[in-house]
Amino acid sequence: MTCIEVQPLISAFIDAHLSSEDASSVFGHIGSCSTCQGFLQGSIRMRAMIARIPSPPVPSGLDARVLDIPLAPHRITRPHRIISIPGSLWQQRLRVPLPALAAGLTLFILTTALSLWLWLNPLREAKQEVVYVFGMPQVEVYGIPAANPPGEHKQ
Amino acid sequence: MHTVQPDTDEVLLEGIRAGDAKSFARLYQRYRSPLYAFCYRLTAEKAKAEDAVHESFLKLAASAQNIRTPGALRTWLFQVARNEALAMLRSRRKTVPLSDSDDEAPWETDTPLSLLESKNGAEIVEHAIGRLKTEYREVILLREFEELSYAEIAEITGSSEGAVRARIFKARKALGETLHLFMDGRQTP
Repeated sequence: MTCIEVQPLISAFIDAHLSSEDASSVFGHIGSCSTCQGFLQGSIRMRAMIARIPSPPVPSGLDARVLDIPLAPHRITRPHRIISIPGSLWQQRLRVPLPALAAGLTLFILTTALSLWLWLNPLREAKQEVVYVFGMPQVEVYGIPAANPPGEHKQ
Repeated sequence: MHTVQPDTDEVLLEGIRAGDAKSFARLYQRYRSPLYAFCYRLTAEKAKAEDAVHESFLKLAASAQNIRTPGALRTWLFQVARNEALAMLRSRRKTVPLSDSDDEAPWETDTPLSLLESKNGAEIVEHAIGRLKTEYREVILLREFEELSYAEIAEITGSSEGAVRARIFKARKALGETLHLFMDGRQTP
């Protein structure tokens, strides 16, 4: 690589915007090029000098001008964190407070679970019907003895 | 139970959207100094820098509802301030020196070589930066003073990352050569 190709990469390197592949090529060149060594050292030195430049003082009048700017409230202040739910029928973004969303979801889950439990409860279908049998009429027809009553078995 | 939330840009912007003056004041306190310094170094005039910062916060108050990326509020503010400052420079000079042709000399007028004998250190560098052409000056300000990434600078200036990278290099090279910072390591031309 030539110096013309390497020096822009050196500039990107000191900004941490250089890939590792390019970095290896750059350092391979710098190791044998005093001009590019000087460019690297000079760039680093310049950054150090820039870091010592103080910020200009903000005029006091600016604070008053900016802080007097009226704000136009577009809706009621919400103290809770706001989350966005993307996607709706018209691709609009619904803005719902997080606690309200959590409470709504919890209520929905509990209601659904209760409904399912009631619907699938086996006791709902299994109604016990108790039949009381007080006795069977014993009928004798043409001299034939009556049938054995329930619960009696002939050996 | 109330949880204390950090005053991130997103939280403050949400407050501004709701009309909370404290959020607006806190955000202004956060960015007043870097925005003013950027505009002042870009325009080289206190009054224009002050007006540019004022206009930036006016736009913030007016269009807070329309900012789609609250996480990039810093970039948004610098973008607005930069546009305001450049508009003021245009109104002053009538001609716009901005062009993407990197083959031009990076200096606005004369090189600041004469200053080397009368001043020193950071003051010389600051003056030399002030003599760069606008397109080089703005990227070096955003990179060196605000430490923004190439992507952020590209978004602010409306350029590609490659153009930003090339401009920063060219500005550094011009500054360094003028200030004789590269001479120590140079043995043969």
